[in-house]
Amino acid sequence: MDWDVLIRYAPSLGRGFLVTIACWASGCALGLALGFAVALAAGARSLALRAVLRVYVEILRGTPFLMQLFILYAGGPAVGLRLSATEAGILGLGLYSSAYFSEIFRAGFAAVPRGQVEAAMSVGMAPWDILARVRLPNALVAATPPIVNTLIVMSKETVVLSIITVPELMYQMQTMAAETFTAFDAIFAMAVFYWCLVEVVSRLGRRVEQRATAFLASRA
Amino acid sequence: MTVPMIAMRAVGKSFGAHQVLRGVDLDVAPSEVVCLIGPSGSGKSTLLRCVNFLEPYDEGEVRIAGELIGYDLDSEGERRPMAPSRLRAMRREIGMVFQHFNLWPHMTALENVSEPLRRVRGLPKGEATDRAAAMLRRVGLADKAGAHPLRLSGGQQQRVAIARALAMQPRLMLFDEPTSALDPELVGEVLEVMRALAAEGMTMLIVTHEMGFAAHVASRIAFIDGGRILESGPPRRVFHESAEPRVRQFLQTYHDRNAF
Amino acid sequence: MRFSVFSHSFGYLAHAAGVTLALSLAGIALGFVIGMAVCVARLSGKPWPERLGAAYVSVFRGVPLLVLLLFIYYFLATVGLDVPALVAAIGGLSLSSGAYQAEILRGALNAVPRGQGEAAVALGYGAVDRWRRILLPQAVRISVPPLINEFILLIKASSLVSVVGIAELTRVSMNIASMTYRPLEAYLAGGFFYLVINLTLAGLGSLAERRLARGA
Repeated sequence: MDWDVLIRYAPSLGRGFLVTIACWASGCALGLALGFAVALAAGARSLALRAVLRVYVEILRGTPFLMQLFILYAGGPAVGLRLSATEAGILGLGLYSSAYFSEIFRAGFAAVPRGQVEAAMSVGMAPWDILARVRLPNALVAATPPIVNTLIVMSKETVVLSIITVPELMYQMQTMAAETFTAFDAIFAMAVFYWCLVEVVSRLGRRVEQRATAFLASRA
Repeated sequence: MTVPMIAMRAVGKSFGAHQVLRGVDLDVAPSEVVCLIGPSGSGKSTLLRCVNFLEPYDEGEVRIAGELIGYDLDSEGERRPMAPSRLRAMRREIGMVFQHFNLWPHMTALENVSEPLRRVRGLPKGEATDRAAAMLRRVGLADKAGAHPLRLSGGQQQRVAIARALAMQPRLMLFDEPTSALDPELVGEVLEVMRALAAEGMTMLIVTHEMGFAAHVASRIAFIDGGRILESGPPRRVFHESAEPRVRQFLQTYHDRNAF
Repeated sequence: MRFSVFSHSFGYLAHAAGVTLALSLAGIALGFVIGMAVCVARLSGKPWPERLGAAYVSVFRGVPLLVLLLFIYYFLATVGLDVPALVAAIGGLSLSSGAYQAEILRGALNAVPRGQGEAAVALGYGAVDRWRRILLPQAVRISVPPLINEFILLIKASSLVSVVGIAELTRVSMNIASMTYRPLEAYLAGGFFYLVINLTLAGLGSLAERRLARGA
């Protein structure tokens, strides 16, 4: 491993790291918000709305993330959507993850026992209060482990953004590799970096899960 | 004559092609304790759930203190679904205790009781908490206020559920097999709370398999089978003097199963 | 939107979809072998195989597929092995999928109720018969739906092998995009093929799930 090269390129790698984290965080925040909205709307009465949302989810889950990025970034201008690579990357990550998050929230709502809602109805709670105070907290608890899991999956998807030239870590690493002929070292460092990242996030995630579900521990 | 707390007239209910209730008439007077007994699948829980309209009935009428629940009648006498806010207002006056407690697992025992006081009665936090604590004391659980439901025994959970319903100061209480999900040694503590409540003059409609409790506490027993009330009267008459063969058969099976 | 792009490129894309499917099939099949081996190691009850199995899963689930593919590509070049890109591609897909399949298989075996094995022991079954007749058949049933799901994920993941230059669905879409100057149409057409493949598989998956739920 050539340490001089790494030190020389440390600033650009540092910027790449920040871009990676920023894309991940904002993409997933967008995905969580969109996914939550889709899951709520999927409970609507309108059959047409439900069908549209189903198609939305199936398309985003049924096609590769890379294809979606190409459609947004390269195909966007044809319909007047001119995005920078980073904007396309964040929007793409948001849309792609929203499909997974919406399914997680939907399953979370479905997992709330009917009796919990009936108890709230029997004391005369209004629909909005039932959603905010009973259904949502329970659904979130059921959703926490798969949400953590999806966040981890999405952290790995951020490397795909390098293909549409988002200047994130992978992209900076490849630039360095091309300029200094250290391809193997660079890619090895990337592998180690992501392995560490995923391990750390998984561990943190398990801690969050334990705290979120602490009250579910029963006596026995 | 006083207006009955619950008045059911020709109540009918079907799930698809299956008719669960076939024209049930039942009155419960203020301070009366009525136990619904009968084989499983007879429609007794469905009947109970029609009282607070958790189960919409399709025929007949259910009136709470004279007011029709679940439907509005327009000038031509046609039924339309009641405005949700009015249905909620009526449900506030009807406490319900469920077979599986249905406590909210993400809240402590105290929060389970104070939550509806704040959201539905609109009490300020301090007042709601005080009243909730008093209710927990009343069911003997003052020391469990901070515990989450899954840390409590079934009997304790059910007592919290009773406190939650009572805190709303309902005019009547519905109990849907409140002890059926409990281990045998925990049944007593729940029945004790219910007995005290009956003694204070609460109007109660109870679906139960606890015949001993029904015999001692109920002012009236109604036996349901096949979606109809086949027998109704004071416990003595239903348990010992009924001429209805289905009632005798049901009680015989019950005694055989509980004999040592 | 120019629809002639769709009709002209249909043949190329259909062929490329075949390549994508073949790559993914190879990946899932080799991945199954790897996954089974890793799963057996993790459940062997011996400390070293267990640790190695756990390390395998941790590494190959932690490293993004794109990084893994490039790593294999450059690694083989560094040690002077000039293998076709196809080998690197299938290698990457199966190494990665093996880690996920190991977890699916382990989960399925754990999902077989303890009492099943105990009943077999009580009836005097030997270890081989217990696994062959009682435990594995149940575990395989449980693992079919998640394995189909894994196959769908792998088909999507295989789009990344376009970076090592294999003419699969994504690469061919890119080529069409640059030849026609119509990227939107080209990528929508490519995406459509992925969608058809994956929805078909998802349909098969839910069919299998219902069959298995009925105990057939």
